[in-house]
Amino acid sequence: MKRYFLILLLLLAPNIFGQACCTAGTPLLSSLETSSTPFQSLQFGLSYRHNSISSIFINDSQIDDDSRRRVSKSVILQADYGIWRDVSITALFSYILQERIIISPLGNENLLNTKGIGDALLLIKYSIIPLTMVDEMELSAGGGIKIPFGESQLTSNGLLIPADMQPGSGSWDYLGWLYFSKGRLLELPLSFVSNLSYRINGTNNRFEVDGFDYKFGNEAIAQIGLAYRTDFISDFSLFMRYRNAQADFSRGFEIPNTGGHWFYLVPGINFKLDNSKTIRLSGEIPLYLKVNGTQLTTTFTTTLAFYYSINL
Amino acid sequence: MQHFKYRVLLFIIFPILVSCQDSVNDTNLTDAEWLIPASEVYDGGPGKDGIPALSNPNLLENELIDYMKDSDLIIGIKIDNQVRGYPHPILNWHEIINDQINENYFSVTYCPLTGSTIGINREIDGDITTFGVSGLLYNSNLIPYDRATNSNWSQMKMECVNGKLKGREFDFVPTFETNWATWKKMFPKAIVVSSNTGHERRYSYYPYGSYRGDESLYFPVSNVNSELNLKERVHGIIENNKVYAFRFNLFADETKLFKKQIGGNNYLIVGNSTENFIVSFYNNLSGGTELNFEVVKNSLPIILTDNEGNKWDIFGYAVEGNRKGQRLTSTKSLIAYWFAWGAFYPDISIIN
Repeated sequence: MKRYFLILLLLLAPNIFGQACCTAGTPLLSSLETSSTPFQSLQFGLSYRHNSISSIFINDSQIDDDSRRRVSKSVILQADYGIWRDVSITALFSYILQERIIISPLGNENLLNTKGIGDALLLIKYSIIPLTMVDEMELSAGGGIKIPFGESQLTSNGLLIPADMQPGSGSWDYLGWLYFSKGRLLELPLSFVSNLSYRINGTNNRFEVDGFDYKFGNEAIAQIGLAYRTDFISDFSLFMRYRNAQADFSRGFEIPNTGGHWFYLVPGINFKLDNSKTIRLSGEIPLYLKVNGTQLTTTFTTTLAFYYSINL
Repeated sequence: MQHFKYRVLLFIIFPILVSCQDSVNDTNLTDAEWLIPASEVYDGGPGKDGIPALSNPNLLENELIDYMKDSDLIIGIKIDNQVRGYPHPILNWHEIINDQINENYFSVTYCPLTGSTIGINREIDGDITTFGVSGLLYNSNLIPYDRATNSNWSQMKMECVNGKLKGREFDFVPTFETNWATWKKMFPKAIVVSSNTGHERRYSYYPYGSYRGDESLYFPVSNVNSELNLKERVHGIIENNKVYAFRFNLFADETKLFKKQIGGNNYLIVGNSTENFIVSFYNNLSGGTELNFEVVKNSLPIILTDNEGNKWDIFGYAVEGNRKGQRLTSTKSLIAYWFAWGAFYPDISIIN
């Protein structure tokens, strides 16, 4: 019974790990889509996420400029445990590698690499309508905090490097989360999945100068999609994700060229190794975006993940 | 099964074991010896050459420029009797333009965060170089680097602050700043940098939001002087590391001349708040000749006349009279936002 649930949960999680990056910004733990975890079940997940950030947009228009590109790579370790029948917890740890290449007007490449332990997320989830085999419906809500484990003051030759190349954001953030899924649509092994998360960001003082606190813009993510379960080795899912980031603030003023709206298509495929182990491959393709001002933003994202569940 | 669990464990832990140390690999920066406090030098974000300087830009006559509004600011340079305009809407996106007029090689450097422009001779020790944008800031101000030696220069400190040429001062090329409406009246036949820069940008769009009109600062500065609005544009004359600040409201809506003795030197300060310019010169010519100047109104770009009947333009050149072709010595001065003056030169006086 629990095995069945675990497979279902993995299928319904389009990206079971928190999204560990944002567009041209400090790595963020912004999107948590996993459903609740059954009582006394322990799940581990390890994912590798490759985020290619090389598109430059002015508002909703892409400009032809290949003079810079960034790659943000994240290794994310996630643990979920059902502590009671209706309550589960999720802990998420990240390790971030960033690379930035700028091609100068003379054709030289300037390279900057950073890496380090990123921020962590702790989330408590409550199943308002617990998942049952009868109707395969679930409604869960949760709340959590993002803990600034990650270094946000890395220096190079004594100079503080930019915030978007730091492994951590340096701020305590607060997260609200809502999840709904309904299975057996049209009498098929087809499920509707949706979730909504909102993150309220705290401030950091990476410059360590009074009055120069910096606040990354609050962020909302909404996602809907379908997941199809097969009797074979692979399951499929397709989601639409909307992300809204407000502009950053410093000294009470809005920072230009931050924040915006993004719509992504998120296809995914799960490979079931057995009842407790799954490998998932997913992508994130921008369909439409409108950024504030001019921003370097995601070109595509791919994620390879491995999940392992244990019944205690 | 047991083996598999160990493999999973290893798989989980391995990436973390690879390197738990936060680290940086950066090939951009030169040596760490700075003439300014390194702790106050910030990476502005775009990175070295992330803001691409222009070199030998395409030029067009005024009338063919379609991306400027009348209120947009423009930098003027006059060399060998040629006048060229370097608009802020281009400089907002590129910050440095490496250009030449005949055998004169120079760079126009502009910092959008401090509103400051300085023209620099880019022939250094007999070698012609170009300047690029280092991506670093000191007191929120541009740090250009020269591509011959990779040395970093502080624009408003006006010297090289890091690298092989450390301690070397800028060799200035005089500039002046006004708005597009005045520019067109002054120099209807001048040529101006075209928007055909080889880079796809939206030049008519100001990329810093409300920055130039509000009190925001993106990076810490070493001293904040709140006597004026932080972004008020002020003409500052630097004399022995002290700044004498001239505000636009000091000048009427017609061209006005102030004669001022500062530190033993006689200065001419000419401005017009409506036409949006302030320029300053030493009141002497090479050889020590000192003339008695009067302001010329409603005859731009001519702004001064003297007791010999010569007429002088906004660049300080005599354009009529016996001294035609001679030039007044430009002061060590520029227009910049008030906060930037206060940050670089805490010893500052507002001239009333």
